[in-house]
Amino acid sequence: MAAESGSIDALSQFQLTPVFGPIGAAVGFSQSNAHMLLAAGLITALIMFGMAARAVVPGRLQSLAEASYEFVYGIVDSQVGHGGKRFFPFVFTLFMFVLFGNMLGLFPYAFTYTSHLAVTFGLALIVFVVITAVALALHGRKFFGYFFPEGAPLWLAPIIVPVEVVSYLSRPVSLSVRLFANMVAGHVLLKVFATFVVMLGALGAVGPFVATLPLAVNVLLIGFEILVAFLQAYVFAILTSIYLHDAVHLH
Amino acid sequence: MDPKPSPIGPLSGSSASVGFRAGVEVVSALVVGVALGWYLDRWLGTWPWLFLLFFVFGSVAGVLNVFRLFSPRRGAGKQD
Repeated sequence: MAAESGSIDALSQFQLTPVFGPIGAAVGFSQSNAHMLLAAGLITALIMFGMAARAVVPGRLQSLAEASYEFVYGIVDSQVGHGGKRFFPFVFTLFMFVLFGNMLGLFPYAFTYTSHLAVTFGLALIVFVVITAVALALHGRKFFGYFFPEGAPLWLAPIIVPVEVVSYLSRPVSLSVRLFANMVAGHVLLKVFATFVVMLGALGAVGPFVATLPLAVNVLLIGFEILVAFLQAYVFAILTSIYLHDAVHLH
Repeated sequence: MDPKPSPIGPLSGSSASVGFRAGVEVVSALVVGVALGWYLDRWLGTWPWLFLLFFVFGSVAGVLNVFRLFSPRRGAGKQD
């Protein structure tokens, strides 16, 4: 539709539309929410059916479930360190939700819920509230010493403290913007090159031959996007673990 | 299947993604600083002084974030 009018419409793919008929429209249930539910269902199914066999020699689904478990466990164990095991369910849920959101979005006609800043900022805000609550619960008032490093001269406090506070408050922003921008950029690129295929394909006799160029680019881009989808979920999980480490150990 | 991630801190990946992450750190710190200053100004009626002050704080915090991105983290890994 975009190619026929002669313009590239790369942003309409991020538009929210209500699904499930009049009921969905009445409660504002968009395709984004539907994909979140789908992701949650798929993750639960992967873990439940994957681990149902409890085989010593794992099958395909079981080894996938075990690999994802061990992968996130490795992140949490190595980054949070001592006392980090109790945060494993939290980080695992975040990682799987972001990973499935990114991956599901690569399917044709699917929607990427991680391409909305509201969603990623919501996730980052959960992380921010949790790390602050953990730090306050574990260290009480000593948590505020985090904003002023020990040994610094006291007259520098009016400069250091606001800078550290701004740096601390910028964590959820950078965490959410990074994921959101990566997802949007990837999907816009895919859409632009896919539109080129259609536009060049309509160029008459040479069209189909020239159109293979952007098609090849898109094939490469899809591979790259799969890498980015995994990498961004990994970065989200590892940064959450690093913040949790700071919250637990306060340095 | 997956290699165990090494405790190298937040910095890993290709140079383009590292540059992007550094940019995001600077911009987010600036945005937070400017927003904080703007709201404080609106609350206290001191426009534009706190805005300008927090613009500087935001820039410094952005540089600090990038510095932390590139410096090896204290207490990283399993030693504690």
